[in-house]
This record gives sequence, C-alpha cells and structure tokens, in this order.
Amino acid sequence: MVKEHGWYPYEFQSGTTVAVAGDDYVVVASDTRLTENYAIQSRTHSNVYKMHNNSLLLSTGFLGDVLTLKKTLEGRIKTYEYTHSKPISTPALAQMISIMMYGRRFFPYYTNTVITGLDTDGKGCVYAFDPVGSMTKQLYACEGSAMPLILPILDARILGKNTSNPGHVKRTKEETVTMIKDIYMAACERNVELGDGVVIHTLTKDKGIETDVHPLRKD
Amino acid sequence: MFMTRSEYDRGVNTFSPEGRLFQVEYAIEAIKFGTTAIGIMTPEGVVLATEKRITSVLIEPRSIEKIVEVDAHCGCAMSGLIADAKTLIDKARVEAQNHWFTHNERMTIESITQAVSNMALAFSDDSDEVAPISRPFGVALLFAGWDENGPHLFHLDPSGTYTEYDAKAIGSGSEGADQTLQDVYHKSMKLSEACKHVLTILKQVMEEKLNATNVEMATVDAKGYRLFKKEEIDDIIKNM
Amino acid sequence: MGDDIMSYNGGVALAMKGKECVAIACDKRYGVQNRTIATNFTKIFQYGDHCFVALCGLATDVQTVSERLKFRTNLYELREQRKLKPIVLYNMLTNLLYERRFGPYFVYALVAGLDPKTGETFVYDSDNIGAISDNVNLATVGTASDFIFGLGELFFKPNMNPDELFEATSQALLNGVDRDSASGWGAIVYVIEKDKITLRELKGRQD
Repeated sequence: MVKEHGWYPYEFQSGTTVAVAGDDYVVVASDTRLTENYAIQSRTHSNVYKMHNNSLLLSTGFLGDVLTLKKTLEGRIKTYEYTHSKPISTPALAQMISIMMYGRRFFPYYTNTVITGLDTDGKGCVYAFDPVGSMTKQLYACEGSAMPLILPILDARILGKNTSNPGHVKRTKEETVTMIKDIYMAACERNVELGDGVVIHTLTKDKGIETDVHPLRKD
Repeated sequence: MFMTRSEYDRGVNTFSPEGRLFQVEYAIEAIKFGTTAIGIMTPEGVVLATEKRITSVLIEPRSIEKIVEVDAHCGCAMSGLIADAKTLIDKARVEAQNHWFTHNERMTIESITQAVSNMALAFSDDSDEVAPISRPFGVALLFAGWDENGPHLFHLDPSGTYTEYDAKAIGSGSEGADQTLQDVYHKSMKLSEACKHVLTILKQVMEEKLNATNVEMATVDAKGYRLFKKEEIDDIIKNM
Repeated sequence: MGDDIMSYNGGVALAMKGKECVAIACDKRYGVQNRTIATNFTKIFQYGDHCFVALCGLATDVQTVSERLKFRTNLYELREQRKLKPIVLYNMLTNLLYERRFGPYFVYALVAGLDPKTGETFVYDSDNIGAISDNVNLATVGTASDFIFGLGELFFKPNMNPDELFEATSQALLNGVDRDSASGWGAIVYVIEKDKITLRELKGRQD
C-alpha cells in the first residue's frame, strides 16, 4: 500500500533579498537565481518588484504566492489611489500588507516579504513581514535562503556590532551598493541557491529607481 | 406646499419624466426645517456650531447632541432628522477606524465624506434588497477636520453630493447665515475670531435667545477635535 | 533546533588559515535546548604541539570523542616516537568517527594545525561519520555555522598575518553567534604559529 501523504500546496523557489534604509535613500537587492529543489529554473529572475507607488516589494518563498501577493497588492494600490486621490505611502502600504497577510492566517501566502520605499519625509524605510503578517520596521532586512549567511554581516557592517565603537554606521548610497555587492559575492560562495547575478536598485527622491546588475558565479 | 404631486412620488427611487427624483428633492427640502449648523474653516483650524431647540423646560439639554466626534481629527455637525444622522455617523466612524487599521494613518476628511456619501443613495423600498434605509436620509452634515493637507470643511446633502467650503451653514437659518458668512469671511481669519463669528451669526438666525445651553460648539485643529464646555461658550458669548 | 540531536546542546567552532599561521576558535556555551547550563564549555582540544581539534554537537560525545582521540594520539606518539602531524591527527579522528558508521557519535569536527617541521598550514573539517575534506582556507561547524560562513567568506583574505587572522576569526565568530540562540556567551581563539601559540578569551554578548 502506498502511504497517504498530507496535502501540501506549497513549493519553495527561494532567492535572497537584502534591503538597507538610508537617510534619503533605500538600496535593495536580489539575486537572480530561481531554484526548485536543486534544479535551476531561471538565472534571470529578480525577487524585487516595483510597485506603482514607487515602493519596492521584495518577496521570496513560493513563487506562486509571491506573484499572487504582488498582483493583489497592485490592485489594492490602484484602488487606494482612486478612493483617496493620492498615492499610497510606503508606511500605509506596509500596514495594509500586514492586514492582508493576517487575513490568510490559516492558509498563508508562503512568502518572506519586505516592503521598502521612502516615507513622507523622503527618508528610507524598510518593513519586514513573516508569512502571517507580523510586521517590523527595520533599518535593514535580509530574507531568503542565504539569510543566515548575510544577516550577521549586515549586523557587523551597519550596526558596527562587536567593534570598539558600536553604533549605526552611516553610508552613502554608493557605499551601500558596494557593500551589498561584496556581501552577495561572499554569500554565493557558500549557498547553492544563490548565484548567477545580483540586481541592486537604489531609490531616491530625486532620481527615482536606479538599477545596477552584477554577475555572480553560475555554478 | 407641493401642489404638483404625481405618481412618481410613490417609488423612492423612480425618476419623473422631467428627470427628477422627488423623494431626494423632498429630503433636501426637509433639511430646511432643521436647526441651524454653521462651520467656518480658518488656516488654524475649523469651527462648528449648532443651535439646540430646547422646546420644553423639562428637556435635559445635554441629551441633545448635534456635533459629534468622528475620529480624533474629525468632527461632524448635523441638521435635519438627527436619528438618520446617527446611521451616517456610525458609518463615518467605522470607515475612519477601518482606514486607520488597514493603513496606520488618518483618513482624509474628503475620504470620510466620500465614504458616507456612498451610503446616501443606498436606500431602497424593495424588501428583497439589503439596504440600510428605505428612503433618502433626511439630514445634512458638515464634516470638519484636520488631515495631512491641513484644515477641511465638507458639506454633504441627502443626495450624496458633497462640496468643500470655506464656510457653510445648513438648516432653517442657513440662507441668512450663508449671506452673513460671505460678508465676514476672509482667508486669514483666526480660529478664535471664527468662534466668535459662528456664535454671532447663530444669535442672528435663532428664534430663541442664544445662551451657553442652547448652542454647541467644537473646533478641530492640528491637535484634534475638541468640544467646547459650557463655561468656554459662556466666555465667548460675554465677549461678543 | 527542535528534536535535532546535533543542536541539543548548542555550540559552534571556526578555523581559518593565514600565512604561516592558523586560527581555531569556539564559543563557550553549554546548554540543553533553550536553557543555558554553563558558559565556560570550550570545545577545542590540543593534541601535540601544533595540532588542535574542535568538536561540536552532542556534549557527551564531544567529551568522549576528545578523550578517545587523546588516548589514540598518546599511543601514536609513544609507539612511533615522533610528533603528531595535523594530517595524521585528522586521519585518526575521521577513522575513529567512521568506526561508529552505523551508530555514530553526534559530533562534527574541525582540525587545525601546522606541520611541526615544515610549518605548512592545515584546516580540515569532518561530519559525524568521518567524511574527509580537502585542506581548506575556512571551515566552521556547529549550530551557528551558517551564520558564520557568510562572515568568514567575507573576512577571509589569503596570507593574513597572525594579528589579521585573529581579527578576522574573532569578528566572524562573534557576529555569527550573536544571531544564534544556541551558541555564544563569549569565545576563545587560538592563533597557532610555528614558535608560538596564543590563546585569547573574548567576552562577546552575554545573552
């Protein structure tokens, strides 16, 4: 007899995202490898999604849920604009995502989601969510398969942890981009689900979204 | 008064051949029997004031409430069928809280007014339909508030039409009051000045003699909604 | 964590290679699942002048394997009348582990050391059944190893001098254990040079 298995409607396509908030910018990044088990499904798929209101959505996990979440959000963003005659701010959008995700408390979107953008004062902001909508505002965030490799690096580099002079290390957006590039190069040495390339988007009030692409090892 | 009744008066949502919705028009007329309510918007904030008709010495004046808080940053004055207003105010409050819950920000005054206006024409006398009310609401509302764009004053009538005003009066004394408002209003009015004006105008249009118990007054500024105490109204009346 | 025996007691170790020197470091926590029992439990053991082993996993097996390895290395030096070399130590360890192929010790291991004659540097790692590795630049085992790998990969540079090596190793270890609830409570770092072995104790976060 074949043993009956439980119904499991999820897959896991992985990806790794990083977001760093600055005083007048946010820098976000994603690798471009899409995997399923140990197979590479795509070498060009970024997990960063540009939303209509200039927020950047970073979402990894089950791609089906990621794309559904993205589409639902796009609809909600437009509806907000039509109802209130103004673009939705990133903090307001973050709260809405939290509520949306909690609405599926018992059949969650299987995603690790981060929403970033500039708040109403033009300051960078990063909100991270667990799959059921628990929300935290953060200085920086990392989600996805290489999160364990990257997060302590960000602790050390951004908060100056375990140095003689701990505290928030302020960086220009160019320095942040370089830092993230180095981190991805380090992480792809040790995580098979991370590789192929990294896209880095810089969001500022003046210039909008600027995009950088860097190759990573492809094995 | 209305000598041209026709069969189009029967259905509440039936157009007449001339393209009119009589019941809605009658509802608008009904407001003109209501107590007077006035709102003035200034750069510092918005003031609302209403008269209370104390028709008997046995009435407890506190139980007549025609200015209410919708949210911490928004108030509402009403004229007409006050019982109908309760349904609309409930809607406004729920919408404002729901907006805060889903977006973690204050709902704009226009959005609050819009949300309530959506209910104005949701009446139906068809028992199969789930409508909040079987006829048009017989009440006009003045929404006053302070949102991210500063002070706002919106007028909403029973047809669901809403318009933003610098200053607006509704109710039985509205015609005279609106005329006076046009004369006294200027863009750089102080809020304290506006408070005096609304009471002065109310005094002119009220049948009874104005005192601290037969008017209500509230302001909304950057700090939020505040209903005036009897003593505070008294002070303003003394200085008028 | 959960029911995994490998993370029942917690703990982590890291080894890195420099120019004519190697470093090996570990945290000091000993716990039972979420409860910390002791904060002076080191997991690094010295065998011979320039050879060190770090063992991470089930604490009772850490102690047993380290003692049995001591037994065997002592016997080796007596019988052979020569100094232990890292490659020999590593082969003895993996052999010891593989003897229990079907009822294994629950430990992962690192070996770090210098060849007593040539001064050549060695860093090896092994799983709990003695799989042998190459002589690598960087190796880490234990509950925080994923957290440390990223840092280690970033901080490692070829041909570091002993001070640079110490700094890179300490930074990788401390920042890594801070993100792991099963390891931490300070650390020890050995820097092994041909004529000198330096042991430093690091304070780190106490939570």
